[in-house]
Amino acid sequence: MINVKNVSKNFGKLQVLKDVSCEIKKGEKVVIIGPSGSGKSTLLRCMNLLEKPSSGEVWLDNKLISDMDIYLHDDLILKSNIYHKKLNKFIEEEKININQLSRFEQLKIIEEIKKEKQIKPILENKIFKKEKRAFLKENCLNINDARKKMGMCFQHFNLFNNLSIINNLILAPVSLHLMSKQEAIEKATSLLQRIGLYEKKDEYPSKLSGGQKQRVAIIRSLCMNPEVMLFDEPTSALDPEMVGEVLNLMKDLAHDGMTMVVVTHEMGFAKEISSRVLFMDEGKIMEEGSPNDIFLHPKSPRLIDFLSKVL
Amino acid sequence: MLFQAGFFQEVKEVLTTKEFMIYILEGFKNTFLMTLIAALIGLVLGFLVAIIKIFSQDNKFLKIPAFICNCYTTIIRGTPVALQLFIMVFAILAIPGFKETAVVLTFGINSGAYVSENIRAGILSIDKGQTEAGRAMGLSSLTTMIKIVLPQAIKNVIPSIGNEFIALVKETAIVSMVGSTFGKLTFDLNQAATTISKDTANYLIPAIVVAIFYLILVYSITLLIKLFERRFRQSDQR
Repeated sequence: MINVKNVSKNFGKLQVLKDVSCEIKKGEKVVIIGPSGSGKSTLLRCMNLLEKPSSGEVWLDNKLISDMDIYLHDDLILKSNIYHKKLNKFIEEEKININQLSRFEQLKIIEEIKKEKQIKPILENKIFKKEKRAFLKENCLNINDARKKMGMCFQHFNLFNNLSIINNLILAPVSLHLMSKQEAIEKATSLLQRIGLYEKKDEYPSKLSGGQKQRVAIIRSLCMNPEVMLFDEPTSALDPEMVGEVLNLMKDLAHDGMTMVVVTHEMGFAKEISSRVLFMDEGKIMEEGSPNDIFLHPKSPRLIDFLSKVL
Repeated sequence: MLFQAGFFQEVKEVLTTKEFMIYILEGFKNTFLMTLIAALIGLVLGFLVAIIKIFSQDNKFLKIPAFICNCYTTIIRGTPVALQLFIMVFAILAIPGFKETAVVLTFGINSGAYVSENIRAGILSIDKGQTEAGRAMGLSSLTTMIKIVLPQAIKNVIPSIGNEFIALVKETAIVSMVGSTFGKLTFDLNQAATTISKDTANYLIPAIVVAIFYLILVYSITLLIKLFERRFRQSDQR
């Protein structure tokens, strides 16, 4: 469903993500754990492009949603000026016929170009540009359309402070013309009743407790009928006694079969609901596997060390 | 000097002479009108410039408009408004019959530069999470700005925009520098005082009377701003 391909992210000189690739399939509940500063949140935010990857691509339902990374497309590199230059040089040096060029040698040149990162799309030739445009036309999905399918929950809830709870819930579906106002209110009402906060519908967010805010934030995303939910440390900013109510709602969601990607420090929760756990450190996915593998039979010393500290 | 015998007598005389009152009321009306139109121009310009500046951070098509906006605020805030008035009236819009337009435009453009910075500060003061939440739900950056960020930002900038408009009321007093005639928009309160002083042979008394009228105007604007503030603060019952 979500496919992250060779994503790197730099903040100035600091490289937060280093060539990370992962795939999230429909119905999976993926939990990302790791020490702080390991790039978990950045990876999650790259999935719906709140952070733009510095290189690499993000795909949703086989549609490209991030900028295109030319270096991931060998067939495009073959059409670039740089490739032809290198090819000519190669042929001259090796004194071979162009028709004798094997796939292996082609790949060697491509690898070299990738390493040097020399292609400048603006300066490239017409054929290259045409191919690139054709590729984008076929595979590209507008980011705003993509985000309609991805719900996101933040550490600090980020409810809209200027709107009452009910308006928080219906704002996006109504202004994106996904539902009529009537339908949206009905949907919001039933969701509010589900979390037991219907009587708060006309209050403003400042009147709610942390746990209530986060639960409202979760159903605000649900109002859009998302196909996947991204959670960015949803319980980190909560009082300990409010963590339970939020986790319970998330467990409910998981049981309903929602595809979820959760960045969390709640190991118990991770064990209980996840179908796959990713352990990240220093901008890389160091280890991944079923919760059983990760928590009971960790392999890398870094993970063993991490688990000994948090469990 | 100020509280000599007969001071109040003279004030009373200015206030009760019909001819003088016509001048003062005409001046009051014109000062009010100039401020109002200039404030409206300033608000529209200010919003536009602030939003262009904010959006230019991640939209390359807005880089050139943002550069123009930066020049605008730099030049306007870096030169005296009296100078701008001269240049506007005697150079840029030196067309007969366009003096009133030129004057009002000058004040509007001038206040727009200050208002834009106020609004920009207001927008920047809103937590980035609000924008992110809006964008993460698929709203465009413009919709997020209009429906989520601006309503919160406006609430925060009302006091400083009010401050700007109060300053504007008093700034319009320099309009007499480019010459004002009775019956035109350029005949403001300050000019009324000057005109009356020619008849009474005493500048001080008309000046004090006019000062009271300025005070009334500014105080009513203050009250209006407080009203707005209360209206906009309803959503955060802190």
